[in-house]
This record gives sequence, C-alpha cells and structure tokens, in this order.
Amino acid sequence: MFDRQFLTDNPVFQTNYITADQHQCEQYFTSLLDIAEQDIPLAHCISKCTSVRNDLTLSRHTYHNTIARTAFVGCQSVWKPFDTVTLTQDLKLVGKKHFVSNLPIGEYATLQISKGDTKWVVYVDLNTRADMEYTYNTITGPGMLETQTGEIEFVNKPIDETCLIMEVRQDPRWDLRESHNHFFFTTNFFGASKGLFKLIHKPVKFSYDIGYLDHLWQTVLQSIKTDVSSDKYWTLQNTAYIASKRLLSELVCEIISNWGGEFMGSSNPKGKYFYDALVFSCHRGAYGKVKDRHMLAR
Amino acid sequence: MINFTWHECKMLDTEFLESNPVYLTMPTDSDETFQIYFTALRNLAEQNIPIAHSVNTSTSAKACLFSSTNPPHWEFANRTCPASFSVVKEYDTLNIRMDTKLVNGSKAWVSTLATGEFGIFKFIGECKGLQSPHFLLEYTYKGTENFVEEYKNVCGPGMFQSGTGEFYLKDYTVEPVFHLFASDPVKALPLNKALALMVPTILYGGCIRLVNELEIKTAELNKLTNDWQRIVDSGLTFNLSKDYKALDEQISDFYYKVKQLLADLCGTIIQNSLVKFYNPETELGKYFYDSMVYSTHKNSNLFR
Repeated sequence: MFDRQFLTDNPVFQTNYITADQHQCEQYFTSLLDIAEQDIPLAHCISKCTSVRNDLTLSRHTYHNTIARTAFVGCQSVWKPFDTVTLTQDLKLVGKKHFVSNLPIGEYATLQISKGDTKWVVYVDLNTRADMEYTYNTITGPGMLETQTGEIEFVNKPIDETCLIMEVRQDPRWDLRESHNHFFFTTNFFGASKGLFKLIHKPVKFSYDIGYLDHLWQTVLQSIKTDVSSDKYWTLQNTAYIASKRLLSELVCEIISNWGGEFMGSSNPKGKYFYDALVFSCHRGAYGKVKDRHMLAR
Repeated sequence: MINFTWHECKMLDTEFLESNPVYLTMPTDSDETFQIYFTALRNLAEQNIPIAHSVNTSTSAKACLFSSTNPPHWEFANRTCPASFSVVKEYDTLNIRMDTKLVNGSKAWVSTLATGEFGIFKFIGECKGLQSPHFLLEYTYKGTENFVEEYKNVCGPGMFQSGTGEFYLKDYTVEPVFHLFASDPVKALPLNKALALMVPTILYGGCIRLVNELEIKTAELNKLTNDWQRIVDSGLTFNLSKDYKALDEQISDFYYKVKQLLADLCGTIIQNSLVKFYNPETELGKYFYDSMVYSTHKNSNLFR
C-alpha cells in the first residue's frame, strides 16, 4: 500500500530526479522496475509522486522547492480531452479534472489545466480541500484499484499566481520534466511485462523480446542525465517506450489467447496482476496513435 | 456513465426463462427447433454472454436428460429452471461408488452453479467400466456439510454473471449413473451436434457485437457467418455414412476460427488502448470483460 510511510521506509523512492546524479537515478529506476514486476499500482503511485516532486523542484518559487525536499504523497495528472478545468482571469479554478491518482491521500498536486488557449501545470495544495469536490468512481475495477484514482471538481477555487509552474510544452524546463514521466512509464510497462512473463513460465517466444527490451531500457537509463533536449535522446526514449508498451499489450493478448483460468479471476494473485497489467496497458492511449511531441520521430 | 454494478447483475433464473420461452426450446426436437434455438442463442450472446452461457448449460443438461432411458430423468428435463452442464476434468477429484451411489470429491468451473437446481456431469473416457457416463446431481442440499460451494476463482467482472463456482461433495447421494446411448451411438449424433454448437454460437455472437462496437469490417466475420448459417440450416439431419465425420470437422473448424476471432477482437481493443471498453460498470465495458474471459474457454494453458 502506498502512503507517506512507504516513502519514509523506502527513501530510494524519495529520489529527486531533477537534482539526482546518474547513480541515484539508476538506483531509483532499477528499484521502480523491481516494484512494477511485483505490484503495478504501487509502482504507478510512486512514479506519480516523483513527478510532483519534479514539478515542485522545477518551480521558480522557493516555497515549492522546499516542499519538494519533504516526504509527501503527490497527485499528478496530465490534461485529458474530457477535462474541463480552467483558470479564470481572476485566478480561480473551475471545472473537472479526471483521472487523478492517489487522490484520497494526496497532499500536493500538480495538474494540467486550461488557461485561455494555453495549458499550464498548476500546483494545488490538497491539505486544505476547500472549494473542491471529489468522486472516486472513475475506476471501478478490476485493475489498478490501489491507485485510488478519482476526479476533482473545482468550484471557483482561488489560487495564487505563483501556483502556475510552467506552460505545457512551451517551457524550456518541459523536456527535463517529461524525461522522467516518459521513462517511468517505460519502466513500469517493462516491469509489468516481466511480471506477466514470469507468471506464464517464461515462454521462449517472448524471451527475446524481454532480452531486447532489457538492453534498450539499460541504454536509456545510461543516458538519462544527458542532453534531454536532443533528438537522439528522444528517439531512444520513444523507441524504448513503444517497445515496452507493445510488449505489455502482446503479453496481455497472449494470456487471453492461450491462458485463462486463475488469470481471469481478480481475487487471486495471478488474476489481480493480470487485471492490473490489462488496465495499466491502456494508459496514455495506443502506441500507434501517439500525439505528444516527445512521441514523434525526430 | 455508470449503468450498474457488475457484481449485482442478475444471473439466469426461472423467471427469465419462463418470460422468454424461446430459450426453453429444445434444439434436439426437430430441425426447426434447432434453427430457432441457435438463432435465439446467437442473438442473446450479442447482448449478454454469461446469460447466454447459462442458457447453454441449462439446455445442454436438459437435452441429455431427455435422451435418458430412465423416465424419472424426463421430469428434470421438463423443468423451467436453470441447470449446469460440465465435463469432469483431470483436475477434478469427483469419485462415484457404484454400489452405494455416493459421490465424494471436488468439481471446479461449474457454470450456473449459483442459480441452477441441478447439474449434469460427464466423465470423459471410461469410468467405472462405463464409457463417458453422465450423472445427475440435484443441488437440493447445497450449502450443507455434504455439499459445499465456493465462488473464489471467478470474482472478476468477466463472466461473473454466469454464476460459475466449484463444489465439494461428501458422501452425497446421486441419481443412478446413466450412460447415454450406450447401445446405439448413432442416436447420440443429434444431441452431440447440438451440444457441440453451443459454445461456438456464443463466441460467434460475441464477435458480431465487438465488430459492431469497434465499427470495423472483417472478411473473417463474413466468412464465419456463412459457415454458421450453413451448420444451422443443416439442422439435425446428416448423412450418417460420411457426414458424421464431416459435421464434426465443420463445427470444430468453426469453433477454432470463431474463438480466435473473438480473442483477436479483444486484442484489438487492448493494443489500441480503447479506454471506453475498460469500465466494467458500463454495459459496453462489462461486455468486453465477459468476451475476454469467455474467449479463454478451453485454452491450451488454462489451468497451468
């Protein structure tokens, strides 16, 4: 179960990706991979929390930087097509933000919202939940339930101008932020693939894919602190991302085509892992329909 | 967006069957009832796979009982209640004592166990000197120490509504073991044809629905539609000298292809991350999970 105590007990997951050196990043992502192999929702919760820490570290406001150095539960959510949350001219948040992980226990959030024709990452303090309403029925099972994902409806919630951390995609800090977000998905997709691979007794036909992806994942990890704005870096990141997401989807399909039994009941360990993998595999849409600029070939 | 709670969906019951008597049609009665039944089953599968599956098990159990030479079995066959039909597999431990008629052991993956009144259980191969014997098990004492039922393995949203579970029997008395058509296997052919077409028809209904939902066109489904129609149109009649073999192969071939197509359609949803299918508390989401689980029936590694 993910909570602040988990972070305190496992300091590697309090790693600050922005300020960490190469060795610390390797420790963080290797540990994350191990977790994803065993517990996909937990790995996802950890990753989202680190993303918030990154945003707060990249903020130009000391107050945010200070929070980033503490142990906290964070909620981070990208803009979804059906989100309606906007920042009004008098700096009030209005509308709904969907798919926010860690929501019931979250202390700080960095959310993508609409501001006029632009999108921004904003900081929201969830310790005082005035002017906000919550629902937790976004995900009703069977997979990824422990991520405690829900929706926030902002009802004219006033925020300070300093809460606007950066403009989405336009800010020069964006590449660095996305470097982590991209690679944690690659890592968790790969970890989930390894978990499923093990559960189906490591068939030879997937062992080459696992080996190839392991090599690719290591290569990205070795370059994680290099020039994150270069085309070369993003080509490598994108290749690993697509390969890991594709392999996870293929393993899920393999279980549907040739397995079944315990995998189909979500109340036993095999089934729970399968349903977590199935639901997690649909995160961020299809690998064939990538829209993010970091997913376009450079 | 939330239509219902999947684990509260109503399972097949007598009320549903009596309100929709087409599902009480006996496909082994005539060519006409064969065609009426399988058309209705396909249509039902397009709407709800677990309910269609329970209709299949109920009809299969009753069709076997109609074929019995033991008159008391016919009373069961005429009931309007749900029933189970299941084959005893190598991982089941059911054991019958022919002298005392007592049964002991466990039976897993029994569909319609939750709402059925009785079940027909078929042994494959020889058992106690009989070839493929069936036995009738009344669920009268379900919940007692002699008949313990569990539903632990099927607790996901997929096929939950089929009421599938497992049971453990301790010195449970069964009706006499009966052996269908022991002396005249030819007479078993219409029954075997009907039983063999049940699961493929439900898989086929699932393919039709998912193709519609995905708004795609597949040449494979058109071909399978022709195959299914040909099998159904042929009814119960066939030329014994050569078509018995051909019939078996025709249904087996259809079964293999339709099962593969349903798995492929689920794969299309997964590989394209089509999120609208993923919420089990929408009718569409529940249908996806039902399809996915149903497509795994008889997979090669099912119980590894």
